Amino acid sequence: MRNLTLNQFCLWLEDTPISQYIQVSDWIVPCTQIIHIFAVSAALSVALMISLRLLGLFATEKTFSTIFDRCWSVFLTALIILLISGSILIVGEPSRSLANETFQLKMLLLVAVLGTLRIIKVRLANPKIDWKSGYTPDVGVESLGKALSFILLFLLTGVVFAGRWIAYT
Amino acid sequence: MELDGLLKWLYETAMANSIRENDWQFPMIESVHVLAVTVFLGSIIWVDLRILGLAHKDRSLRRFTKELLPITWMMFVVAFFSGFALFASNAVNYSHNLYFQLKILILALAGINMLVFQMWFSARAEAYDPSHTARLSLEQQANMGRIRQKLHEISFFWSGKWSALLSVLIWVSVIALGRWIGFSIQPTFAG
Repeated sequence: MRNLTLNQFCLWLEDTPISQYIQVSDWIVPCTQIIHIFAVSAALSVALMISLRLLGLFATEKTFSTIFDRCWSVFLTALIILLISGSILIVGEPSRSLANETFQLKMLLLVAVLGTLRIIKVRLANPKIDWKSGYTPDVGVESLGKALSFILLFLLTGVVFAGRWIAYT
Repeated sequence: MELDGLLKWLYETAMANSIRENDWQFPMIESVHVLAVTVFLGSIIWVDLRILGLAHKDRSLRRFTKELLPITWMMFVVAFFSGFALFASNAVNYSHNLYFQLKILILALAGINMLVFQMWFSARAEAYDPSHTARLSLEQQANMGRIRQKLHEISFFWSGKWSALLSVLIWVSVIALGRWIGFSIQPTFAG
């Protein structure tokens, strides 16, 4: 029943003038995909910086909250671009995306990425518990940071893989 | 003609056949390629932005590049080999594609830019540090007038910035062309 509603929505969206316009255009989808890739690249690179900082391999002369705040603003900007460009791609091909299980998995993984970043922000990017190289205020906090850095990288790898597999499923 | 023969041989290798005929190999290699390319692009653009003074200005450039460039190179190697595997699966068609040819040409330009940057600029990375004062050795400073010294500083400072700007343009073009190849070529992937 739910799938039927989703499929009906996809069919309705496919028939809208904006979707038709995107479908017949030679350049909208390729250009939007290129912008999407740049935004993915920006989001991935700052997430990598956050993870490397948590692992003590990047900017250890700076406090974690300094690096996190710097990266977070870039991540949010990239996320907004991803949402806009992703929406254009969805409107252009609704059935291929919304009704696709790999796309749904990608969205779930994205929510998990945001959840992980939220935990990192609340639990670790707190000036009161900030740590620098060679100074560990709390072994538990440091271990949590390392675990979350691996989880973040794993989830983001999943998002990229799922994004590419949408085209093949 | 000789090149086409070589490409045809590559196309018919067991590896290329396997990638073409297997349902999951092409998408899997492509996913690895996309992941490597996006991380590579992200890391190199951050280094370029740092040189241009648009990001992480309060950090030492030498330290910043030392932390990020190993990842950049690692991702470049992964992107190169995964890209080669994808190319092998449809070698003749790719080689005749205008966007692919442009991408290879720009990649060669990127290589030259990186080499020039590495050889000439990396030894002077301190000039881009926030606390930098002496860009020349004391002996060099003694042999140079103040104006010549200043001109010297400005010239290599801006040369590095132009190299970084060129790098940004090059990599943005490579990624855009790479994506456009997918829209202008008929894959032989069976899946």
